[in-house]
Amino acid sequence: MQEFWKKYQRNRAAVFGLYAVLVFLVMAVLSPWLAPFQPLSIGKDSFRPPDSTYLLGTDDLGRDLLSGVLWGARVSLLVGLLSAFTSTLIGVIVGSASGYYGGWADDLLMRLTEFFLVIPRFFLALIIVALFGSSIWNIIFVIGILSWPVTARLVRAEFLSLRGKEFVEAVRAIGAPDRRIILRHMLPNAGPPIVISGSLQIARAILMEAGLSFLGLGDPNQMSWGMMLYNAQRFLRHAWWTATFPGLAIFFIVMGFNLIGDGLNDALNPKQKGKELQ
Amino acid sequence: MVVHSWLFYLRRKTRNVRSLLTYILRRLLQAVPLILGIVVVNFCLIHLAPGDPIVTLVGEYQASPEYIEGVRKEYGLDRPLPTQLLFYVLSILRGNFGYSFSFRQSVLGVILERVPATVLLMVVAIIYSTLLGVVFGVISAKRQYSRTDHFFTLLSLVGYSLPVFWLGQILLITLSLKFSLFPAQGMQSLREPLTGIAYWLDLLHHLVLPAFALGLSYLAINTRFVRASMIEVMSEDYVRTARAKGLSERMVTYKHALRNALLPLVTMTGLNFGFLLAGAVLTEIVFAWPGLGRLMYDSIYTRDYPVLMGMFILISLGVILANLLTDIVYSVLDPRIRIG
Repeated sequence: MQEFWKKYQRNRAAVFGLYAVLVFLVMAVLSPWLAPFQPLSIGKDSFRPPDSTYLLGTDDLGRDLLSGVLWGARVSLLVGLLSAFTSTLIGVIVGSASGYYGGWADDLLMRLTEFFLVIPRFFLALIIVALFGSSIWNIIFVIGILSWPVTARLVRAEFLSLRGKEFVEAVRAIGAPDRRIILRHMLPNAGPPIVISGSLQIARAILMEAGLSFLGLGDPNQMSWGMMLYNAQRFLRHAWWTATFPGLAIFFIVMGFNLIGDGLNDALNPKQKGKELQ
Repeated sequence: MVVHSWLFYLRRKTRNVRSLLTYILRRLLQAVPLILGIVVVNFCLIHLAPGDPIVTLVGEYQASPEYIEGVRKEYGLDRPLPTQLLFYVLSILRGNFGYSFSFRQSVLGVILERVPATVLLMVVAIIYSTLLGVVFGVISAKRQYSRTDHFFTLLSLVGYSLPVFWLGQILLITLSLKFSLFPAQGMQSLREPLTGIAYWLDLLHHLVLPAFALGLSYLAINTRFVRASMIEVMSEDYVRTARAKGLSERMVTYKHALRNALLPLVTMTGLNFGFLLAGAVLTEIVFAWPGLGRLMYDSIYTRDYPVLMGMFILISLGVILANLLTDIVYSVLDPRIRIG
């Protein structure tokens, strides 16, 4: 662990990314105490530019933007973490089954993976949310079940290369059941790439949620950054601050997770340096 | 001797063309189940959505009972599910995507009308982000770990993390609204109808900001990709051979390395096509660009489900075709792929 941190630290940008994400995490956890106002409560001061009462100004309904940005961190992190977790879980299951068993199971699962890879994800997510309602749980679920193919391919490739290794042959020769071989012996060895792609997926999920909310499909009961930009769109001429701050928040959190992904890649996978995107 | 080698060349050439044709045919056949799959996904959504499937097929409108009865008949909603699926697939194959109440027009018509504006935006974004991405990537790779390299790395990191619609909003607030350098809305000036060169210049003027915003994240991805690809290729044996032959560094870089480094970029463009389209939709909303994005936004607002479903199918079709096209281009550039 210490050695890992030493290697990770060498990428200074990645350390910055980690701090950025930590700041947002603190904001998300402490938002009920940090936020000066209720994020969704309508006030009488609409379109107030940033001043000493409203540090980031107010929007058309007099809602405090600072409180919105603080509470929005919850939505973004929740969506990012949970949907990346869901998609990684599905990807690991599909990829390891495919790589371990091979044969027709592999063929079938890989066709399915290709299908999900080609399908325009954002538009399918949009339709599902439009039809089934835009609660935050729906959004998390949809992003999760549509984002797994990259992980599945990655895990499959790892498993294919591990399958022929001596230690796997050895455990199999002892007569260990498949489940044990997969979970105890092969999966831990496929860990690094899964973790790296997981952190990049968090960034993508956050961007996707912001995009959906920007189209008016955000959860109406939760203040999210994408929704704030959706509201701001009509008033860009009058109130620059309504768009500026929520967008900055999205930018920094996405960059944070991307940087962490890069840093993990450099630390865990030195040979692959610079080839992490895609 | 001459004739003999010419014959040999011809035979090889025909074999090459034939292998290309079989490859294209094979790829086309592979696309069929994908397209069918997408139609089936759509069908499932219509039936899984809460409430009567008729709402998804008509949209949330006060349609006349006769019209609703007609739609029920058309899609065979009173029959068993497999028959319904068949009805649905057949009607899609006939190009019937339903009728949009808010536009009082067939869904296909509504959508096709908007395609050119979106395609224009995307093409400009793809071209500039690819060209600049190659230039930046090569410069970065040639001077690895230099200041220039760090600058481009930082730039691509920023570009990759910016939400495209927010970038659009910020450009709009600063460059259009504050400094009035560019028009803020739409595709052309409405005050006076322009013709000829003035029309195109006006269009170009409207295009600059949305195309820049849309392309920036691809510029970032391409820069990173070309940089990594160049660095990898530069250490290949054939590059060493080229150097050993005494070729100039310029020649080695541009003639030998770059061509090979760019090959995967073709595939990347195809894979990213769907994301680019999603970005285009979001950008269009910011700049009121009259393309698919605007249509999507309005249809979400008016709950015009037939338009949304139709758009999904057509967009999927577009993405599949784009992938097919890039695969074919790739196989023309690199014949090894056809054998594998």
